Amino acid sequence: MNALLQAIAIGVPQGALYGLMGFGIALIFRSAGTLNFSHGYSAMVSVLITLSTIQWFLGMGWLEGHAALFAAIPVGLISGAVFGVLIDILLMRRVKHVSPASMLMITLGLLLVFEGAANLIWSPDYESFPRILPGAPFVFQGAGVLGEVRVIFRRNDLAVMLIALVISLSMAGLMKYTKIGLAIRARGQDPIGAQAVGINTNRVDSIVWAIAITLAVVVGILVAPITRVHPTMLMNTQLLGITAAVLGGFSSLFGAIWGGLIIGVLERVVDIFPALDGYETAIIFFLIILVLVFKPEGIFAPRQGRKA
Amino acid sequence: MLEVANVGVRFGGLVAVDDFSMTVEQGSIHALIGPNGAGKTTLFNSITRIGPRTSGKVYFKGEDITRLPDHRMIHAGIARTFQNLQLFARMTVYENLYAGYAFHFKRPLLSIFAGSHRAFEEEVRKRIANVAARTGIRSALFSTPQNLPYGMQKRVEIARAIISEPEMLLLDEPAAGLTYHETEELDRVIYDLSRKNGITILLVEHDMNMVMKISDRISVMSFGRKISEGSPREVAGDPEVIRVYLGGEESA
Repeated sequence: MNALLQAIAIGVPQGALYGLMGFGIALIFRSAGTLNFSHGYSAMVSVLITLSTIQWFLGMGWLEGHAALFAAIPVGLISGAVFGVLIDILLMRRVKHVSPASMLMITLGLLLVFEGAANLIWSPDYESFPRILPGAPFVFQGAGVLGEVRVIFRRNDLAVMLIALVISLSMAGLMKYTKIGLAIRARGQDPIGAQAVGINTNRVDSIVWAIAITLAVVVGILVAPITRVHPTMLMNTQLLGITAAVLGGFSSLFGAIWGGLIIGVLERVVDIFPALDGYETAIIFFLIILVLVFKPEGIFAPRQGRKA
Repeated sequence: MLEVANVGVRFGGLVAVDDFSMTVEQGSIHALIGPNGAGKTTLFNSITRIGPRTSGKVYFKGEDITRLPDHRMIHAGIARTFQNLQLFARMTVYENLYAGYAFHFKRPLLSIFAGSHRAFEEEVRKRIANVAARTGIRSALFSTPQNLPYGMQKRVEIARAIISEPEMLLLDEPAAGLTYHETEELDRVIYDLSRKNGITILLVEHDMNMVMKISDRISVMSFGRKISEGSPREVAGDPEVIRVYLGGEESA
């Protein structure tokens, strides 16, 4: 029982990050029309930019300790938004009308470009990255109806969960109550109809790319203290983010977040059983196969209406 | 109001539309008809920029709109509907209509948070109620389009097109796929838009009944060319029109 609680305490924050990653991937998939295989890699470059900015601030002696981190984060986030807009304007806009497959190929190419650039400009070495909330972990200890309980909760995970929650809620608000959210939904559901009501679909696509990559940078910054910073630091997170999006059903954006939470917890629960050690990923992908076979629209997809 | 000047559309060696010109008068209902394959839809799409155009120009109120981007058309005052419906399938009818007005409203796209724009919300609500009453879709406002009968969906699309009070409305085969009764309802809606709201209408249509009943002026196309133009009575009596529609001596 204690092991299960511990698995949840570590799995939920981890899963929230998969969920945010999946949310951005599903957003691009639904509105801009491609599966972005370079999602985590562009964010990785932004994390490297963030790290270099921190080191620069520290090196110049302008800022110390945590102030440098918080000053560098906006730089990283903006670089993510810029990557998103550039990918859309320079590459996607030109092939959008050709075929979805060519967009997919470009994202695969970008994955290699970003990874190569990271190796060339920075280095393949693992570098450490500061936590948002440093300090000793919380220990919850006591005896209750469940028996003797001792759960450890990493302090930084508190920041992870709060940030993930705030972002999820503000994204939900953005999509539901703002004009840009309406434009994003309209463009995803019917691009021709969207243009007919006066929506500049090219601009919507750029905004979608900017939002999605910026979210991935947030994930990268939060996950960096654990994975450390290196060119493939977000490979696993991206893979499980795509998985979260599939699990949640690409047609429901917030399904991706629930999907991420499920994967995060499952990963840790599997860890409890020594016999299953090393099979975490296999079990998760087996789950995906089951979902694709029995409920291909995703476990959180809204019920389909009657066809007219 | 709308002037099509020498528009031509070619696909390789095939001439789909050949040097076509016509003028749609302000306040009129103008129909573009012709047998299957005459190039009506090709011409229509090249006017609305959904399709290609090889030569010629299109003027709206004397201004050249030939190079206007697609999404600027509604801002210029030209709304349209589509043959196969382009509604937002996972939004309610209310949201569809909201979208029809929201982006016509001139304010920066990014900064609109609904809560801080009560007056705007109130205005949109009134407009939606008004336009829903005019097109007879009041009962459907909170359904999603896919759960509505086809005739109702067509009227939802017209409602979305006119909510921003365009000066001109382009209708692509509005009666296609409708029952006799649904077509009659649609006739009335379109006629009222022209007579009560003063919207200039250009429609491409197959349904001769509808065209003869509501049009002020008709252009007839065959093999990419204009073969006749005039009032419904004049066009119906034109031997050339009768020939292409019913088959003349050569083809009989």
